[in-house]
Amino acid sequence: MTTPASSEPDFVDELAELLSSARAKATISRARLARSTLYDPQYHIAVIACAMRIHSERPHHRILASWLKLLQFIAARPTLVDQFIGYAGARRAGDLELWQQMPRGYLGDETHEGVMNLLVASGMLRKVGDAIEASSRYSMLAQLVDRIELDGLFSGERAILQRLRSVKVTKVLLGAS
Amino acid sequence: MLGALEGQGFQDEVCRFLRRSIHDFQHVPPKPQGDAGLDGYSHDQTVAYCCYGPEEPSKLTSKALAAKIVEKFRDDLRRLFELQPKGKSKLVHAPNNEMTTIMGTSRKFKAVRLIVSVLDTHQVLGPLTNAFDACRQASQCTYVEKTAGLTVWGPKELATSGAVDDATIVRLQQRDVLNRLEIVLSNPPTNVAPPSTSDFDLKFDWLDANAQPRPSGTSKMRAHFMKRWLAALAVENDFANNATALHQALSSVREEVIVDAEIESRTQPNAGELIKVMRLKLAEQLGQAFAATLPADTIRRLVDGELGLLIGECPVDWRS
Repeated sequence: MTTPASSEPDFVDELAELLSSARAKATISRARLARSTLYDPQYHIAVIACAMRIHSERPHHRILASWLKLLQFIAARPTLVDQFIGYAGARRAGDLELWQQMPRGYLGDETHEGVMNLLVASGMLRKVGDAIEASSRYSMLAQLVDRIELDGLFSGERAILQRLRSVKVTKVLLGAS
Repeated sequence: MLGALEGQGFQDEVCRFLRRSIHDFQHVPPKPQGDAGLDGYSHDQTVAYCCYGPEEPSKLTSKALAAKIVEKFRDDLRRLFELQPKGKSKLVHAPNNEMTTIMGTSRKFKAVRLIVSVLDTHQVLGPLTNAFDACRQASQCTYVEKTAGLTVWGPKELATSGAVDDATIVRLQQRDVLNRLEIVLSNPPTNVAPPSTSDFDLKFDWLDANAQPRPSGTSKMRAHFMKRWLAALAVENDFANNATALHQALSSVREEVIVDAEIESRTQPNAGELIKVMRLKLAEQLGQAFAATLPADTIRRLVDGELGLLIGECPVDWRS
């Protein structure tokens, strides 16, 4: 398992030898290994709140659950937005060759599911069939977005969510039919 | 995705999927004299599986494709029932010697599942049912119950027969994923860049200044770990976008290795030895996390990539 490809020297062994010869002492700093925001519930709550503000339909702030899941997935991964918009547009034009551009990784996004369960349990959102809509404490999410907009936070994510307004969403597009 | 596979590739993937979904699924190896028409069995040797992925199905008409599928499965059924055609419509007993070494004593199949990569038309169902009935009537039924049932599954039926997790999706997209990982690990994309390389450079500068005897230069080593670091970032991006469960597994491995290294460093402060220990731990943990998904060689290169990332992003330092 640890043997390097035969065409190149074993740089790990070489590095280890040099470090030993320099009598180098190791320091390990766990704090320098930042956990990805992809697993940060507070980050997800903020992005979901922004997605609800920009994409949900009034008066009940209703949105298709799968669409919300995809929105927050793409908002957190800026490199996906162009290819997804390309895929959605090409699909409407009947071009199925671009199907691989659909970011299907969103289907397995368990962090989103966990955060949604939290928001539903806390009374901010509720599930209605295959949709999500505002619940009795939705104002907390609304206030959060007010604050985010006031302070100019999550500008990248909000810009992506705005761009995604141009996508005509269907269950077939989402792979949720 | 499964439907896009053909021939042996389809058969292999179906067997992998069934192995993950059914606890006692047994693949039947083709050696020494073929698989006797049987690709696998499960449920205490009561359910038989035959697979078929026609080649280039899109080039065939619906009728021709259906005929090809019926012909292939009819042949498999005859072998299971130990029959061969004689004349135009008669079936006669023909011992299938391979079955004696595949089946346990007095075991018989109660159900036969035919799994095909394309099931867009019901044109195959009637002919296959007729073929199955004909086999049951003509056979001595040594290995299949007289009352056994037949089902035909396409990719959708197969996918809904068990949980499809990210790892399974990755397996089904395996060619794409492995191709992408191969490219990423060999030539990291230029649009992936670490936020800062100054600490990385300073660590190797320190090594140049302090190693005894003084190294002729660490430029090749720097370039190697930089390349691996960029590759690790690219792999992480790819997993984050396409397979979140794999991304989570990778993140967890990284954290566990750093926690272990921190503990280890209290008794083993020698940075050289610690680097070797971290490499072993990464190999062990990544091996456990990805053995079902990625080939050993890819995992090996991931190990060096993760080590490059841990040096580059500064959880590991040796400048005192």
